Amino acid sequence: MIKTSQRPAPDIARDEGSFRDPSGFVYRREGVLYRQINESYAPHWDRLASTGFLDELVRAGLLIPHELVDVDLAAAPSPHAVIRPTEIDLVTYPYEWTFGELRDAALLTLDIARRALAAGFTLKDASAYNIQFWNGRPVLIDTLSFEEAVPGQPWTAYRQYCEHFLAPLALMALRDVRLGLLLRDFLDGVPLDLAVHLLPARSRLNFGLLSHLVLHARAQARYAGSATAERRRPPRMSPLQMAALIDNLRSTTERLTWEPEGTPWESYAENNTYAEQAAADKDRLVRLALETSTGTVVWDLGANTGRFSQIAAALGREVVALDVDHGASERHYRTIKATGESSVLPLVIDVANPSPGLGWRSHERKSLLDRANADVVLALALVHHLAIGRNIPLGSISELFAKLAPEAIVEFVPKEDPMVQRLLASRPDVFPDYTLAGFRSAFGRSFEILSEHQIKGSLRTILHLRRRTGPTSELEDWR
Amino acid sequence: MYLDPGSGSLILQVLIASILAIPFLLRSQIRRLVRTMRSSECPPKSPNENES
Repeated sequence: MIKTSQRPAPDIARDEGSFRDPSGFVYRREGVLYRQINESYAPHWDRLASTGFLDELVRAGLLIPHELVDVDLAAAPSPHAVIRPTEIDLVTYPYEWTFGELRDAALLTLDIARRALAAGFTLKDASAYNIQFWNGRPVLIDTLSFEEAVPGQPWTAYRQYCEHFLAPLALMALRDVRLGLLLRDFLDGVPLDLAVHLLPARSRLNFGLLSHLVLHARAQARYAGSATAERRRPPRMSPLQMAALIDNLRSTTERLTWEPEGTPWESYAENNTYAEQAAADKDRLVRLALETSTGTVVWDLGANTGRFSQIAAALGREVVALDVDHGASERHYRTIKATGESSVLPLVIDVANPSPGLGWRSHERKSLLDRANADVVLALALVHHLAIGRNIPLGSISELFAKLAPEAIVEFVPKEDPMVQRLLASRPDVFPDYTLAGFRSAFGRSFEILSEHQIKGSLRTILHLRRRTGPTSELEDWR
Repeated sequence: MYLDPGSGSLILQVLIASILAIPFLLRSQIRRLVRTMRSSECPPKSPNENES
């Protein structure tokens, strides 16, 4: 008879994006997030621990805090240690960030590289995916990004910094902010030759961009595939030269700026069609619905510059504020930075085309819908853009909201409203079901209506909805 | 080290860093000098100064 262990095997799931660095990896054990530190990384880890460098970064708010736990909690053979990092509520990706967010993540990376150099370490990678937004600020989440500095060795992450940060920021600042979306196709960063093709000629007048992008791309082309020169005579670099390089990357990055002006929705908050009384009543109704909603996380879809995200934040909610308009989201990010608001995260996301699963096996970077952690969806002045602007059936919009969260606070804007009239001005009205009754009927399949109030001084309605429990097959019937 | 730093990237960064090193050093020295001069012009208040 074969004896089997009485204790069931623990439920361990390795993070599907954590496989590149042999120093360790991230996994979940019984739902809790851990990071295993492998034996191969032991000398670096012990040195980091003995110098207190990681604690210094955590105290400065630059690195996600962690706690050392029992090594028996490891998920694979040859563990040296196991840590439990503080978990980020919603992992986001650089192609979802605003220009300002990507720039702040870049500057954080360089600050950490500079501190590491001063402490006798090197930041061994400069991946934008190692940065996450936590309490309104960027932090490094990869605790194993450091190695003891090898005297004379150049910065191994230089190329990665240029491809993940400098090239996309330069393209966004100097050519078009929408080029940030290139990061969605190029997960290893924007190829420098492509960046140079797309950058305007005037970027060559900037010493930093000329060196780190234009000449860098040429050097890559020149030495590509050659039996590496550094194997014969490795290039050497003093700590002073390294500090000068990081300092120059910092000033080059800092000088890249973009003003959110002239994008379609960035000035909507000042130029919308609301009368003052209607705007005040909408605030009141939204606050009322939020107060009676449950849970902590609100996803504000079509958040614009964040008027209603701020209301949710003031009620103690954690808010993820999505908008397709880069200008609006950037202005929102600047507001929360200026006010020190730590519970709102603005992102640039098209609700009608949310981030897909990407990378290795399409699982390395998760789709936005797979990351959804909302308790409440807030969709104000949005449904008409999806239903009429994008021809998405109301039932399908309802299904998406029901997939995202158990509750939704939705504004219905009827056809008589000037904003909908504008959408219909240059096209035939092929939306006979786009009425309040049609909305109730379409959303009624997934949701029950908890409250419904017309906004005083307008024809619009705010509905507070709760997802129905029951067989999901009914949800498929919207067509 | 698990990233490929790229031969071209390594060679170029050393070249750029050697151009940047001297001006960087000069700037840091000047900054340090200015700081020292400022602190000697207005010495920090001693903790006992406010007790009189």
